Amino acid sequence: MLERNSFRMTRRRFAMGSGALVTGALFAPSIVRAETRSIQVNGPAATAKVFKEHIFPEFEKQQNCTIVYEGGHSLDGLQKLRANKDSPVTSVAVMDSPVLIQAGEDGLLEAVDTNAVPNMANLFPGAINQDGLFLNYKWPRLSIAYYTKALQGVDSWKDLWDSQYAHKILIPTPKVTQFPVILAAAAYAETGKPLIEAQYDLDSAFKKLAELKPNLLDAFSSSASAATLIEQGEAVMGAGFFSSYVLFRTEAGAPIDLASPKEGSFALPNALAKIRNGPHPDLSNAFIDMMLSEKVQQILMTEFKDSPTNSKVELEPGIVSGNDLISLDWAFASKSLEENTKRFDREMAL
Amino acid sequence: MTSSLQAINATSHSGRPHKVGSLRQVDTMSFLILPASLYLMVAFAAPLVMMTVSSFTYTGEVSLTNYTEYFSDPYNRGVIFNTIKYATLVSITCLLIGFPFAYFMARASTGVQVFLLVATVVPLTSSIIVKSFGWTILLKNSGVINGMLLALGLVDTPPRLLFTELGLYIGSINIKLPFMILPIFAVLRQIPSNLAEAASCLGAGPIYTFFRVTVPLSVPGIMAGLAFVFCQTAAAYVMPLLLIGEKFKVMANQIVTSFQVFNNIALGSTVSVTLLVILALFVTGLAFMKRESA
Repeated sequence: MLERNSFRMTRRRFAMGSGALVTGALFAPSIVRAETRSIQVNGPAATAKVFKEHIFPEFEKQQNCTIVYEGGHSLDGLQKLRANKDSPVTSVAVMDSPVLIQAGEDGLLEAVDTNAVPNMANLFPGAINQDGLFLNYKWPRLSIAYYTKALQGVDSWKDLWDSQYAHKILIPTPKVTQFPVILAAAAYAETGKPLIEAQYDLDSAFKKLAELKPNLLDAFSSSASAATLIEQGEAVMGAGFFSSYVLFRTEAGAPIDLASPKEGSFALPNALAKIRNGPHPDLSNAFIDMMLSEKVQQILMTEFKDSPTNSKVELEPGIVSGNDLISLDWAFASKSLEENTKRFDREMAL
Repeated sequence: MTSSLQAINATSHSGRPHKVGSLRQVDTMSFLILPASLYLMVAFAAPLVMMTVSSFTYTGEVSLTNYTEYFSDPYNRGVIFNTIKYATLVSITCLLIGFPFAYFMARASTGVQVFLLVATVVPLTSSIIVKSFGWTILLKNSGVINGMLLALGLVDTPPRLLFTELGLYIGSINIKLPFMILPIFAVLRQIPSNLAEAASCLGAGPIYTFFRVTVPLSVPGIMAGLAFVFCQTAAAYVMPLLLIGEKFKVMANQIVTSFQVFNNIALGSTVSVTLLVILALFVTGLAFMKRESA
């Protein structure tokens, strides 16, 4: 009797039990997930930690949703957006302006206004691009990073061409957003025009850039690995470095700092945009509005040491107002990217 | 011997003998290659065909325009030259360093052989990105190599190695060396040692024996090593990018720029197919040389 009622593991029972477990494991989470909505946000990998720890949880709680953040290179993100144009899976793209300009030209973006995103009203005018097609949510300060054991500071963008720095200078490649900065600086060094005007003089820029070859250690596509070269003294100056990375390393005691050249520093246009026909458009609007709010902009300023684009935010010591940064013509930069890349490859190669 | 082989061939896996070349045997064998064929069709052949079609398409029509435009630009020809020069120099240097190493390893005692084999294979377990980054540290002005040169009094000031062609070759040769050593070793250890003894008995000196007996017999290993190293180096993207940077353009770099920056699928496909043809020609040339030497 006892033996008949006791449980015996047979191969059939084992198979049925395993099947039930696998089915449960596969489908139970989706049943739970079905209760909350989910939006996918494409953005830079470098900001993922701060976003996920300090910004997203409150939004997810308020909106009863989950944010799936896909971090990566902006150009890879653009390729994915293009591939999914007919049935987008992404709701919001967090990328730099030049990439979003291309996305806008491909019809991938949808403009927003103050009805959908009320915090747009508090933005500096320069942060609203193409009638709300994409919005700058922070402006990292773009300038020259330098090795503090060799230099006290950098007075001018022209110092990059000083012959005492042979094989000690780093510049960005056309693959990174900040490339137009070195073109503007080169054209300024060649012609003496103000940086904001010099950015359009590409012939002068490339002429002067070719003269930088004896000083060039490398042209970088990764700010992090290039900054390491400065910290180790392999390079003494690097053009096109930005506050988000350099100032944290300075605080950590690394021998690197961000210069304030007399001609001025540039604003790196970190932006975000709503994807046309993306899932849950109401959540996309709410997400963009949240990123532009004073509270989140304050967090972004503290965590990244970048200039806020919301004019209401009180600046922390050491943070430059967005109004004092030079804003390049990123539409021009985007339009001339292919031609500039070809010229750079040809004129700067060994 | 021949009859026993025939007997094995004529026996199916069930152990029951059946007629050689029968329909049943052909069907079974065909079925076995289906999964691999299907995988290769989807993952390799289909994208390759799409890429080739794209390279021969210009404004929606079949055309050679992409190729004529690509080859008419002296910059592109320079990039092709850079790629071939880089792959050739790395392959030849790997052969010159790798052959003596493999020769010594093949003739060493079992213990030494195992130790050297492990030392050759272990570096293959770390990724090429990690190894290339490692070389950027070694090649720095304040790196290990320059430190040694200074300590030995061979130089007064550290020579610049990182982001130079010399640094690129030093790092690439180190990374690709195992792919040359292993196939040569595999062939050398199969050569009976009594062949050298026989040559010696017939009056041949060690140098004559090496060049007239050992080297000709090791040609299959040399060809395999050259094919591995040349093809991998010519298609390398990470090593040139990290060790020399944007100053030295190779075709792999051009492919990435075409797809990622220009969004120019036709140009990317044209460069890719050109690289593939160069590699195919090189491997075919090696196969031809191997047949000639045989």
